Amino acid sequence: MTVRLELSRYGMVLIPVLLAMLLAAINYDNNLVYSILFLLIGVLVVSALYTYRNLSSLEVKPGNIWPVFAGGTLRYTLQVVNRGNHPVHSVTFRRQDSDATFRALCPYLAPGASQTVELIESVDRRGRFCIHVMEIATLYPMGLIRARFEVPLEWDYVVYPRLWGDRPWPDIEPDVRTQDDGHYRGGESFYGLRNYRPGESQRHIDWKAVARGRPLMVKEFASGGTGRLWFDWVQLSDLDTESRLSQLAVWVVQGDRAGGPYGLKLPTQVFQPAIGPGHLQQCLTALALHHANGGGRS
Amino acid sequence: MPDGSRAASRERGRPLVSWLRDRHGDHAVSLSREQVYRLLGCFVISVMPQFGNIPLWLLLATAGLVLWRIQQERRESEPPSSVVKLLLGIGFLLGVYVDKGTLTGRDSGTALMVGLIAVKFLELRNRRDYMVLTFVIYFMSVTALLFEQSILVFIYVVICCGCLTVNLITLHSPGPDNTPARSAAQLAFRLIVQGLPLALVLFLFYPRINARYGFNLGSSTSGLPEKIRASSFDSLTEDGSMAFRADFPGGEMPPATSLYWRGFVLWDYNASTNEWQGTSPAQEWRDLTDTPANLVGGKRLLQRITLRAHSQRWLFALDYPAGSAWNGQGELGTGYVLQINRELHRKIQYLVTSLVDSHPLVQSPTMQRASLRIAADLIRPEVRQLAKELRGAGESDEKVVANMLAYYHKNGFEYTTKAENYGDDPLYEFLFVKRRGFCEHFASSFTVVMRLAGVPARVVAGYHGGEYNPYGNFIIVRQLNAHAWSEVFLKGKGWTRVDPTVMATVTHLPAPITPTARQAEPSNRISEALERKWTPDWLPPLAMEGRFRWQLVEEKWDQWVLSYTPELQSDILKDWHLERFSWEFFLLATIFVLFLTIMLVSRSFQRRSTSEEALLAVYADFCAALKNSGVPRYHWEGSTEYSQRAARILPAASKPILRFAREYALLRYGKIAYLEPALGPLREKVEAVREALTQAELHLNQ
Repeated sequence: MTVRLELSRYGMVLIPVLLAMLLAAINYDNNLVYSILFLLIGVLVVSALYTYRNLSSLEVKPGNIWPVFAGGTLRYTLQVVNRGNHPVHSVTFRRQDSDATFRALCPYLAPGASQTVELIESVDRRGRFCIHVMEIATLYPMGLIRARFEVPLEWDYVVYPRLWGDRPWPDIEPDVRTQDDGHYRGGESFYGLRNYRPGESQRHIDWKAVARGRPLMVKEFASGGTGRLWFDWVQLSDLDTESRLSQLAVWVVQGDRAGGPYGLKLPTQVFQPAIGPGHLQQCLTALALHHANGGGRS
Repeated sequence: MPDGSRAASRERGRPLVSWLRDRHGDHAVSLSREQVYRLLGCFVISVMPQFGNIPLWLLLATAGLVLWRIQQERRESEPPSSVVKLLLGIGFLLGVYVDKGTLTGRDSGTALMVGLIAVKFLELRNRRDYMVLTFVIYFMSVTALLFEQSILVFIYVVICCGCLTVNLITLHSPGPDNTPARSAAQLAFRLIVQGLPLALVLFLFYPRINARYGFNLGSSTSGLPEKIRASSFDSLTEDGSMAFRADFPGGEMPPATSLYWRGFVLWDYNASTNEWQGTSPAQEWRDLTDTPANLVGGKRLLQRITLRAHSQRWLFALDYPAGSAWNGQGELGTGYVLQINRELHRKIQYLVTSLVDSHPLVQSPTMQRASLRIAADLIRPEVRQLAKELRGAGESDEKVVANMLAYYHKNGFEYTTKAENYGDDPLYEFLFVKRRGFCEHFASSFTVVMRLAGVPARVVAGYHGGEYNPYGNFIIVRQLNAHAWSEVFLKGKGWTRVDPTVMATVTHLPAPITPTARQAEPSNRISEALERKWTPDWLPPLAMEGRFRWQLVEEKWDQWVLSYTPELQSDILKDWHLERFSWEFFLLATIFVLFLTIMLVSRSFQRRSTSEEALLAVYADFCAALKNSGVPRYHWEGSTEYSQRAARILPAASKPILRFAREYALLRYGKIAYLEPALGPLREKVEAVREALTQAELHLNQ
């Protein structure tokens, strides 16, 4: 890890001011102006060391990354640890290999403390992508010098197809009902509360409870009645590829919510009817990667 | 997928409040009210030392804008439109132009900067503006040093810069509870202290350019007026500010009666305006006779003079300067005056040698003509008559001088510092009616009469006397010491100083070396008495003592900081055997000091051991104690196994050993947030183990 130091954009503005001081000192042959000028230069140099130190004790590890549908917001977290014995101030995190403009800020980190930093990014294409490098930077202490270093993460993630389409479900096959095994989360009736995990959608947070001063909790919902289904690529032959994938993704999510077993047939792959988060993820990943050229951003 | 929906979904994915939008910086982040107030505060304290240098209207306008900005902040109102700001800016430009006649130079530049900073405050909304303003205020606070180079102003400017630095730090270093200002101040202090060595080396080694150019230094004159008329020193008589300080590196003080500090020579008398001027002839002819070689008699005396900026081209020295001053920048010109080729706008220090109590023996015919030139027909007949009477029947020049001095004596001429109301012809009125006046009256009338009588004469302006500082062995000469006297050319003797004010009046000038040269004067008695009534007896001596001490501090300051000239720089380098001073050397020195600074600072970067490490150290101590007793730890043993084994082998100390092991395991593996307070008791437990072991050993030996 190499920490690189450079003049910040503010520091660039300081340079002409220092030059003006130098000119004043030379022109008026004024030793006192010289001394203030040199003092400022001294402070600038020393502050660069502080800037360096602010990053040198920082350790950054990948945290969680949450599944996302195209058109949604990608959320992921980094685990930041201050290994030094000085507090760390004002560190910003930015993904380097995308055009994303979001930067997360960690304002303060006590010595030995660790913190989860959450980053977000809007995504609009399905496929497999990779967070190659994170840039970690700081302007501490005076904003004149910028220190930064890059953390190679090589962190893969999959963006599922956009949830888009309103076709009705295909017919339910007759042997489905017998497999009904009760309640599954994700429906419309209230099921219970559990702790909020960073990175989750904030839509289901129980804000009323938060307002009463309780911790962040997420409401979960459940629905009864499920069925066993086949979602087939062929059933949507009148749509173009992306729309087909989107519609299939909608169906798969609805099928998972309904709780009953469902299967997915793609031209290249077939997933036998099953239930559970693993199955859902497999199906959505297959949809995401369907002729997606192995991912990458364009 | 349709493009429209793609764009729409991208919109939906956009910002949360806690995210920073811009990829380069966080200048989009708005500023808090406290931050704005803090910068305003810095601005106000930085302007403070400039109060005398900035026109009053501009100060008032600036104060108005600052109040406006505070009001904006309190009401959370919108900034004024750019038209308003533009108009304000143009208004300041025009105002300064009308006031000063120029937009460049020190005075206008500073005034303009203050005004424009105030305008810029109106639109201060984001971090980038904030930074730029901070930098400009740094510069503005430094400009105070262009006007005044005293130690106090310097300290003040350093404090201003410190405040600005604290401000920058608070902006960029949020603490756990969003920046406690105290730790920001601590950090600023540390930055400045750690930056000092580098600053010092830069100061010593940065190559100074001997700037003989000075761009446009519009500034007001202080000190002696260029023309001398009846009341030209009027404004100086009450002015107790320092003109210059003189100390004597040779260790020898000049005699008190010889403290005539020569400034410049006045050659031409304008009878219609009653004015002496005539620095100009000195430029017209360069007289080769006025060289140090032509001075006879006298004693050589080296002086070091610290001269405050007076916006003129004169350097002062004791009568008669014998050689150039200020490393040749002050040339010895006609009439033995020291002249520099540009106006002096900062405090300087120079060495000059004088021949005290000497005479210039010869003069050239040109000078002879100049020192006799007088428009006699413009002068009242009574004055001419007086001159004729003085000469009598062909008396010698010496006799004429003596006669004139006798005339003053006989007629009870009095010296005063109170301005007298003179009419159209002050010369006549002084000589025949009022007979009271300043030194200008005496010198002027004496010289005029001498010329009328055919004795070559000229007026010299300078200072007389000064305040002796017993601690520093130097003399402080103030503006109120300003003086004018005459010189006459006597055959065989050369130019001779005649000070009619001292030599002819009943009330002599007070002793030359006194704190208040002109205050032994009736007109001041009343106010003096009043002062005495309200000040306790012990105060004046104490105040005087304090003043002398402070003067000493100022003297040292000037010596070390102000007078660090290119010459001194190269002298120091020579002293250190670094004559071959070059850019490479400078570069090397800078790199060396940079390195030193890094070392110095990184010392404070060294890790303090964490409490976990301290805990491990205590455990190591425990292991060492047991090892001493013959039970070393096997490297595979954990603390519990080890202590159990040790307790078995050393039954005498088993209790403390097991007690320590329990406590240690709890601290090491238990979930304890703060180890620090538990470390002390743990160390005591190790001591208990040691004690038990030594006692067991003693027991065995017995």
